[in-house]
Amino acid sequence: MNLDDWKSQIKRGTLEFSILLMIEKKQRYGYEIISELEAFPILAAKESTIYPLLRRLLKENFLSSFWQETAEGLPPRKYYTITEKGHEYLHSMKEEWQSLLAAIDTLKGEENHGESAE
Amino acid sequence: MEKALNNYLETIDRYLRPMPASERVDIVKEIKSEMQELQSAGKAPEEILSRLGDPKVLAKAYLGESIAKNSKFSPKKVGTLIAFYSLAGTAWVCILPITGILAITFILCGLMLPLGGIVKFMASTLGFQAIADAIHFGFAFGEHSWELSAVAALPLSILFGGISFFAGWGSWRLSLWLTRKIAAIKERI
Repeated sequence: MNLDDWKSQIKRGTLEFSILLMIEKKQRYGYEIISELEAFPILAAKESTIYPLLRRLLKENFLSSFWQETAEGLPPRKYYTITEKGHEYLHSMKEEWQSLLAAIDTLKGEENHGESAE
Repeated sequence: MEKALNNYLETIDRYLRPMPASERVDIVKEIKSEMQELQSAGKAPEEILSRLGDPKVLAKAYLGESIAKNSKFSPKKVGTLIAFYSLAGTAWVCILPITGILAITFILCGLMLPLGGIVKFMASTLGFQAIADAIHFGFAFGEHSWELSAVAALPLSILFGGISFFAGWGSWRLSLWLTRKIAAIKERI
């Protein structure tokens, strides 16, 4: 297993969380999500990842969507918003995330115990 | 809209045929929306297409998600599964049974050969000539064949048994590796 495999596993495991966090803040459309994630190489994902993922989150009722006409010359956009169920799911995810971070911190701390004790 | 872009959308639509029409329309509309978004940002059709990538991959990703999302059996799902596996490549379907059968055959041969050699040798040295004669070891090339004596059969049967066993072991590892590879591909969708 090399570093790239590991990174892509992290991406796969956290993309759903990241997308829900983005949509929780404000309603967003697919391309907007994809292009904003491009700012973070560890999370950047292609259309073939994001669109099907959004679709699954819709099917599982964590998100809802609506089409909205935009200003002249721009295409209609499909906006996603988070549902009540999505909020609950995201809340639990945040807790799990915190416990993961705490666990990793603990493990790192144990590893460097000799140095940090100084 | 450019012809190349329209073709792309039509290709997606065609690959998504196992899905309900309403979903298909929505998916295509969303991709079209992104295309127009990119166009109005001044991107050339070639850039847009290279960004979206192979339509087959994109369609497969949608089909893959729709397999994962519902676990209930339905004729629609069977259609989706068939579409997924035909896109995933039929090569696996041919390769895996071959490596699997090779593995079993070689390993069995690898075990039987030395066993036969040992029985023949033991029977011959202990004087059970009837048993020793019932087990034949030899080589055959076309019309020529050579029968081995019990003493020669022992080391040779162990040697060839070992070779066969390792060939079987290799096929077995290859089968496992292929299975894992397919599972990994499916998970990535």
